[in-house]
Amino acid sequence: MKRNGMLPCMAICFGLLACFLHPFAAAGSDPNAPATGATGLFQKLMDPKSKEGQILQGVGSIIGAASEIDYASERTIGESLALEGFQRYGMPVKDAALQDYVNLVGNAAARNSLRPEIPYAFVVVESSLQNAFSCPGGIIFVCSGLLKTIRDEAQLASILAHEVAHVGHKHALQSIQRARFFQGVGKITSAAMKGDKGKQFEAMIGSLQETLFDKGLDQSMEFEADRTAMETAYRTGYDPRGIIEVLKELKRIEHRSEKQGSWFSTHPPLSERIRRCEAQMVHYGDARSLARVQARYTKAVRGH
Amino acid sequence: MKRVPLLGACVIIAGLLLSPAFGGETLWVTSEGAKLKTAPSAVSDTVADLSIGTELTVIQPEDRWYRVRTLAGKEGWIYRGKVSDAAPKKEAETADNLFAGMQGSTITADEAHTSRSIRGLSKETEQYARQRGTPEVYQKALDAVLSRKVTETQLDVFLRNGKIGEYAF
Repeated sequence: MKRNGMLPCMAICFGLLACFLHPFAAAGSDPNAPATGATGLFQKLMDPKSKEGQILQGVGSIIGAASEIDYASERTIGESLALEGFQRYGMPVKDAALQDYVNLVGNAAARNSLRPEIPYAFVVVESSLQNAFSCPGGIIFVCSGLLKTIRDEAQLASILAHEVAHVGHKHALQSIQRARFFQGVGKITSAAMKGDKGKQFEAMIGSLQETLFDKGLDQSMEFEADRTAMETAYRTGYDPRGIIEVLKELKRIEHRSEKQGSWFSTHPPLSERIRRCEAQMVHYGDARSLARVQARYTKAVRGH
Repeated sequence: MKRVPLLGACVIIAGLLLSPAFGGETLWVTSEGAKLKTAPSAVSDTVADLSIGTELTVIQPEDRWYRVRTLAGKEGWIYRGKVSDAAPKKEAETADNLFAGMQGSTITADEAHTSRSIRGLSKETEQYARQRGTPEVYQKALDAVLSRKVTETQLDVFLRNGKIGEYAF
């Protein structure tokens, strides 16, 4: 919250408190008496050294929008979520060449994304699920099962670009910006991770897991990530039709695939996504002449 | 007498229609690793490395490359995928101090002038892991993921070998 918004916000809070407490304020205000009920609370709020006073002062630094979370804090959220991601989905596949390859494709696309200046890290995890997800800050997971569905590098680039787009639009952060943890917290520091705040942080990560792994983000965010993914793939030099092909293949195998924790359960209906992506192809007149790089992809994922 | 303004309008409209698209238009660099080249080819010499946000005036568009001029007067060619007709949003921190004291970028400049350091998980993440009792094997796995680096050179070689983007021809 901007500094010039702090004063009116505090004034509103004082005003509300005054309305609530006025019947009690006249009852006496001996600072040495034990704080009781509403009067005690009011005294504590007035004391800048008390915990309550500090919370009130922190009103001015509430993270009111995803855009206000600094990168280091975003990264801490993402790293914490990533630790849970390994436990939920699986450990990184033990194929350094494949990991390097996916990391190169992902970074090649990310350079032309909405937030090209932050670091991105891509990891393939051992899981038969058709899934990929991104953590705030740029850590992106791909399940080895999804690599079996993908046929060439353009398709892989489009899927990675979709996840990069979620980071670019800060979609996951938007889904948690009202979390209790952020009340009174400006930056995430070690102090902010202790005690009750630490528990609230854990709850927030839990909520993020539920959203990303089970329930899914808002449909509008998924459609937006598809659009941006096509744009990023095109700018990088890959055929943006790649994403449509993956979606069509997923649609083909949907009936026999595990739903829980996969793209099937966390994303909008495939037919609607395909329709919208097809409509966007009109912007990419020379798409068919752009890179597919099938041989390199097939070689990299061989054996998985 | 009314024919003169009408004629003038026709001339202006014809001029607008016939002028090349983008001629004189402003574009901004929006991609990492953008380079101004001497010719519309990624293997031609580099005139300058262009940082994100660099403003460019288009002199001549040609298929997938644009001939442009920087505000400082440097001229050259840039691949279409590196620019946009809207100025980029800045990150809250600049690229220089973005990673001060924390995990560095996974794309490094060539080793000679790498200045970002790798530190592994942030101490706040470590604290979270401690409080959650996260087994060390997962922390080590994440550390390994975050430590994996790609250099600008590796990325360029990767794109060149795949004939991707600016390396397509």
